[in-house]
Amino acid sequence: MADSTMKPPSTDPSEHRRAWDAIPWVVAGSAPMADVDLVTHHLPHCASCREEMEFQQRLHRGLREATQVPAVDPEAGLQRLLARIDVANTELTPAAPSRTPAPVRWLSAAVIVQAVGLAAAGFALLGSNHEGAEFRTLSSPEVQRPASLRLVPAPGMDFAALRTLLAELRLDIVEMAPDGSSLGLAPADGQAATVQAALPRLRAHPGVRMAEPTGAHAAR
Amino acid sequence: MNPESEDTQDVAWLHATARGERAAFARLYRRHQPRLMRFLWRFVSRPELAEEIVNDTMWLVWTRAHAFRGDAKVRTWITGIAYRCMLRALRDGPPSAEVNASSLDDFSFDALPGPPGREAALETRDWLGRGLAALPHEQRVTLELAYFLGETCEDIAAIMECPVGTVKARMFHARVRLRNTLPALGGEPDPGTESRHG
Repeated sequence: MADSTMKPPSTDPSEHRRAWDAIPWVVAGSAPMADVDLVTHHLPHCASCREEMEFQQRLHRGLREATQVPAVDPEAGLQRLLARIDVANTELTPAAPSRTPAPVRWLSAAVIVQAVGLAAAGFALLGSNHEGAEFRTLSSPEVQRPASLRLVPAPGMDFAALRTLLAELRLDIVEMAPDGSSLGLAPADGQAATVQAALPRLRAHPGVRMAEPTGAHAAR
Repeated sequence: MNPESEDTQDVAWLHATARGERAAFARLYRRHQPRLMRFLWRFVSRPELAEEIVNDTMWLVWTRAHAFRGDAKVRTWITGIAYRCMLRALRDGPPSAEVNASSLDDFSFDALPGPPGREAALETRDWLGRGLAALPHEQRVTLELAYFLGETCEDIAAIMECPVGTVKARMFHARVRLRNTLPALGGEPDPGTESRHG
């Protein structure tokens, strides 16, 4: 600044405007060196810009000083976020390369599970002996097939690929864990042999993290 | 650590994050969370909402790390995500209850060190509160990003997804409006400059 006062005033008519524009960035410390030099040279000759500089410095100081951020533990926030990631990773969503937002995919999955459940309930009603049968709503738990297999998909497993695999193995999705981390499967034909035949293939599939029989099938 | 080294480290952590490495992601989180909290606290009134926006931001960093093209610094990229998450939160939430008009309402100026002292600090609070409340949202965010976070004009353009010229215009109009709002404290606006900038 002391050196700049030694320099004569600029004859460039645009200097005042350029200096005035540069002042907030100089005050904030984010201006390029050329702008810093420009303002430093211009200020000694321009009362208007000196006043503006003081105004902006006061504003800058006030903004930075007058904010007290409440104490929030970053570690607690990080742990909450990692737990959220854990839930997502146990779903069918790949961690990084994703074109469709995970919630959308899992909303679709949930709708499909619901549809499967409703269809299963419908078939169960159609196939039941109606003589003397009590009237049941579709939400009655008795008409839902229990899961014979519990499946945890591997991260990166595509839902369409999973559906194809399950169709080949004649397995239906009949349940989904509330957090979406696992699926309950039942044989489409209701046969235990179908479950036993599907199990080794599921376990060998790279898109399956875990496949275990449940209930009565677990004891076999 | 200088900004270039910090960004180099951020880029490395972000690439590792894209590969699913949690330790790198945790480092990114710890580095950027305090800064994001400070920025968001200027605009939202509840700490838990600010933290929620931070986590929404970092969730997108986790899921979109592979999409970072290196056009801006990682810090700028993350701040841009936070800005958009904040806009969405403020848009979807109860507007009057969430927006922190000045961020100064409950602040204790006793905590301010030494000069300018309590009276001057109270005066500054009122001055800033009135001035900032009078600014349109984009102008206030521009001013806060520049003065509070120290972002460059180019980085603010990247954060707010607008041309650099727009950032300059917003800064100009914010300055003029503050001058007009606060003539007694800030002096009169420069009519010559104002007319030149339209």
